[in-house]
Amino acid sequence: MSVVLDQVVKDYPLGSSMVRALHSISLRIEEGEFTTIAGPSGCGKSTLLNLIGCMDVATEGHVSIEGKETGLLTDKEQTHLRLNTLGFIFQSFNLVPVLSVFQNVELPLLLKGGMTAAQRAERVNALLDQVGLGAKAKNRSHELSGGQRQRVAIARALVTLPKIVLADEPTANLDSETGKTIIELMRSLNEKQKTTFIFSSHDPKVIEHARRIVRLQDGRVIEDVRK
Amino acid sequence: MLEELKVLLLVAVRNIALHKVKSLVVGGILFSGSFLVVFGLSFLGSIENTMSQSIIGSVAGHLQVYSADAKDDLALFGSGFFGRDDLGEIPKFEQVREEILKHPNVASIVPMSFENAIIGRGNLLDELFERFRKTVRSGSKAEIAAMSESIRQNLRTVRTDLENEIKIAGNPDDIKKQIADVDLALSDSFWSKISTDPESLMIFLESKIAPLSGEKEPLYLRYMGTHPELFSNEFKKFKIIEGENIPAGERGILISKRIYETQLKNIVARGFDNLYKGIVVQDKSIVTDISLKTFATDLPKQYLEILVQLTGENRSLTLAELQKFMKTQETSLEKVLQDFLTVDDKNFRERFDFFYKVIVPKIRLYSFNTGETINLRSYTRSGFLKTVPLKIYGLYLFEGLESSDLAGAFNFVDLVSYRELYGRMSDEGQKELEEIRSKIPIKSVENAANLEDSLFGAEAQIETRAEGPQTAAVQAKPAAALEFRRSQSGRYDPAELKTGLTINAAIILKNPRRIASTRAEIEELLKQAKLNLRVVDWKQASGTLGQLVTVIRAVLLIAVAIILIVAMAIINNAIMMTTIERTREIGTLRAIGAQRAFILRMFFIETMTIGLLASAAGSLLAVTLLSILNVKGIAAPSDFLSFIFGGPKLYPSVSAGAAVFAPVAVSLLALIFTLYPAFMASRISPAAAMQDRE
Ligand SMILES: Nc1ncnc2c1ncn2[C@@H]1O[C@H](COP(=O)(O)OP(=O)(O)OP(=O)(O)O)[C@@H](O)[C@H]1O
Ligand SMILES: [Mg+2]
Repeated sequence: MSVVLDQVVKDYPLGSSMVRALHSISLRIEEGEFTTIAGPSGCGKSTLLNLIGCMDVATEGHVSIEGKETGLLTDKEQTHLRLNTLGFIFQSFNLVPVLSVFQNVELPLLLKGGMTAAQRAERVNALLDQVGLGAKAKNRSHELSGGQRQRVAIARALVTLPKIVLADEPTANLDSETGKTIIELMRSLNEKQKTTFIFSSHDPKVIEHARRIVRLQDGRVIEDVRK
Repeated sequence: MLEELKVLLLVAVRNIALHKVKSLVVGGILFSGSFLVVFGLSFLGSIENTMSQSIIGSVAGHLQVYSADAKDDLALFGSGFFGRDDLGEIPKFEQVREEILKHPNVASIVPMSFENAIIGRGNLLDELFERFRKTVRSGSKAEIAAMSESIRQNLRTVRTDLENEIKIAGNPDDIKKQIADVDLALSDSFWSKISTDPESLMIFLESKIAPLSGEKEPLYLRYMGTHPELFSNEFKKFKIIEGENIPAGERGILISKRIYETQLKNIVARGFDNLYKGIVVQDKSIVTDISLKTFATDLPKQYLEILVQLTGENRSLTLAELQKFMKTQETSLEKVLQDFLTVDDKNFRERFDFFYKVIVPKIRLYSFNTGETINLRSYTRSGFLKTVPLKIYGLYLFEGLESSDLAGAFNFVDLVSYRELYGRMSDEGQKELEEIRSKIPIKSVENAANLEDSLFGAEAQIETRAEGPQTAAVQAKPAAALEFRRSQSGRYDPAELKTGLTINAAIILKNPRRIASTRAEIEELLKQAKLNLRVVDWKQASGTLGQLVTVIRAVLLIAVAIILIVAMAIINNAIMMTTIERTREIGTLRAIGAQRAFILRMFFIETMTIGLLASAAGSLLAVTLLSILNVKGIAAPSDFLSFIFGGPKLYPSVSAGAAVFAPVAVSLLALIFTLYPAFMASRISPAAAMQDRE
């Protein structure tokens, strides 16, 4: 089991009261699954992914990643977990604008340390080839199209060989055609490397690519199907 | 680690380029801060150096020694109070000299003692009447008539002055009597006597009228008694520019060129000089410059200072030349002269040339000339006014400090004459006095004043007894009662310059770098020899002036501190702003696994990069500017500053220490100012990565 959520509740403060974004969610996601969190806007997809991604902690209940209860970790340990076990793909790509494509992908390896420049270059170049951007390694991110940027982001998320990759609406800022190729890329990487993918979306065309669909509504799981 | 640093550096450089406004603000502040520190410290260092040379090389030497009983601190450039500082005395210079010369780092010791002399300058009506006497004796009728008219004109001014005085006077009756005298002297019947009884007319003018114009302001001359030859050998800036130094064994005085030009020169000539400097040299205008305007309005009022000097045929000659020059038919010399002295920007240059070419050769330009003898009058310690006639051997200046009032503020006399004016004489002189005393029957020897009176009566060199504290000194020191000596310009034994009384002495060191340690060691030497003396360095000895650099440095540091506080606020703000702008970026970095420490390092490296670059550039600019100024020099904007600058121009040198230290210090400070914003940035949640850009 790579991800386990047990009766997770998440409240956000709103003025003086609280807004409950997630109501007692229990969920298990196995290694190598290709899962989408689906649901309308405001249903709690991002909130759920943030909890899994160690970027936020649950108000109640337990979240464990690879057997580690995230709520009990220090900030440093959470960061460590994000660096080594998790990979992130963002809706707005979030590349570091001042770095080149190659440097963006290399960055997590530098944060991790323990590799020579040659080893890093090999890994980065191999990944860039896989996402079809081998030729753009030296470009800066603003010189790329949205789809290309998201591929760089995918390469960056995968460069540390994480067990789980999280993606919050990875295709929302892309046209449907490009979105489709991105999902297909993710799917193929999932199959080849057995990396667990969890991504959110409200787009039915994207959702249908998933092997498992967890549907949320108003902070509750209303459907959980595997194909 | 190194790889990470490389990325951080890259991110830093790119971010600096990306956030241009912030970079410019922060960089600009650090640039100016560093520039200011390097330039300021270098400039101050240079000033300290030149000023120390001015002070050391002109009068102070490296160290000064004086009595520990002194009630005032030694202030070689004046303590700011008029009058006499109580500096005690060194009664036996030979002892001190012997002890101090024992120290291996001492090259020489020069005795020096300062005092103020008074020189009376007579009064204008006296001069006028004296000339009138000559004219009456030998002049033509027309000349006599012209002079009578000019005297009457002057008397009218005197009368107006008296009328003004009567309003504020406590004894109006006396003044009323004086006005009556003036009215008489103005009357036609009085002047009709000129042909019948000129003598009684002149006696009336000289005895009744002349005193009414009042003495011209007496001249105060500061003088230093020293060993003239030794002084000129030890003080390298000292230079005789006219005449010669006071020869060994001779009494005499050397006048400061500066004092000669600014106080002893004819006042009209001085007015012309001042105007020349302003209008021709500095290119200013009488209309706009207030001090020039004052000079220009004073000039015609001072015409008498020229007029009284024009006697005999010079008078008619001058009138003729002036008429030609001024293109006028006016026959009154007074009027033409006044017109001539009324100058403006346009006519000044011509009149200046005419003045020096035509008028100056006919008048006495300076009160005294080299080779003449002047009577130096000064109060002895026991409170008597004493006069000593001294030959003016020459004029001196301190090289490079020609235009500084501070450097040329005193004149030199031989130490023996100083002692005489001070009221202390050599053993030889004492003996002579004893002889005189034994020869002359004395009614009362208890009181010095009586003794002097009985010896010399009204003609005694001791003229007045001063009021105040000096009187007390007489009672305290009965020995002082015997102080007097027939003033003479006779020779003395040059050895007297090395023995006997002095007030203080300058010590010249072989190695000036060891001032502090040598000072302490000399103090110890003197203590062991049971000599109760104080030893101070040149800075202390120069009074407030020596503290100037310290004060300027403090002001600079305060200014820098204020700038830094403001800079801190601005830098803090600028970084905070960009931090907010970069929230998503920082969140992303945190999300993909950057620790808080990484974010901190990122900010620090960014600040260090911009800090080192900007402050090094600031330092470099300061160094470049200083190097240029080192060749070109900075002209001293005022006479006072020429002393500080050690000459008419300052050639500042770079302080290498400051050039290196400033950028490092400024960058480190910037780093401190980055601490808070960086800390805030490291607290940004990784979830911030999800924030949308808009
Ligand atoms: N930081 C927050 N503070 C307060 N309320 C929040 C916060 N984040 C989310 N919420 C609330 O929690 C609920 C779930 O929001 P969440 O962002 O998880 O929805 P979502 O499914 O991701 O929606 P979308 O498809 O629009 O991205 C919403 O009602 C939202 O208003
Ligand atoms: Mg969302």
